[in-house]
Amino acid sequence: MSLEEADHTWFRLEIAGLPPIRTKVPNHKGDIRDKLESRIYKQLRVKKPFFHGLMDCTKLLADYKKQVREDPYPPFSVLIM
Amino acid sequence: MNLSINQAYADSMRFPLFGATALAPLHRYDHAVEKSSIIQAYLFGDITNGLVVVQPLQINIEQDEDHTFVVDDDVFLVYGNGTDQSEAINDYVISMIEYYRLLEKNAATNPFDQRQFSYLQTYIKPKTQRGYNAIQADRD
Repeated sequence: MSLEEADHTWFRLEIAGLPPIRTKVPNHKGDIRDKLESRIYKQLRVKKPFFHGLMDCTKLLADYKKQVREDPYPPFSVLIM
Repeated sequence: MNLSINQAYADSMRFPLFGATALAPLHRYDHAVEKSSIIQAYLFGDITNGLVVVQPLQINIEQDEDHTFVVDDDVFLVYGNGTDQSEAINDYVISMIEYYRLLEKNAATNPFDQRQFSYLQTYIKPKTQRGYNAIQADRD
């Protein structure tokens, strides 16, 4: 995952054959609550339980790539015709 | 990359923003916010000196458990957050401008970004050639 330069911190992950996955680090003080968290895992194209698996390190990068390749949520319908 | 975004902080309500159902100014809904409720509105018009939203872009405004606000869209999945609605909308607009720049920068080398950037440009475009030149000068 690479860092993209901007006022916010953006990260980009490229997976062969898929659109780049971009996520922004929010400017937020304190714990990140549900609504804000949901925007982050939405950008990562996974659902909440999977995202929590990543945060808990029970899911690894390989699991993430497989998940996004096989069942991205939300799907990449905007990008892939 | 230097972004020409300072004016975006000056007054968030200068962004033309309309309620999703009645096309009424957003302030009409300011007192209707309930915890966990989602307000849908449209962003349309100038968002900074160089860029303009040419097709109304629906945004969702939602309050979090800690009473902060989150603003996002369902098309590009860009979000912003802040301690109140205005700050969250400002942050969303700034994030969208950054997203525009990132796609613009990578469109030449990544076909997916090129496609996404073309799609984004159906919503957001440089306002004028002069505005576009100002953006380019700012980036150089």
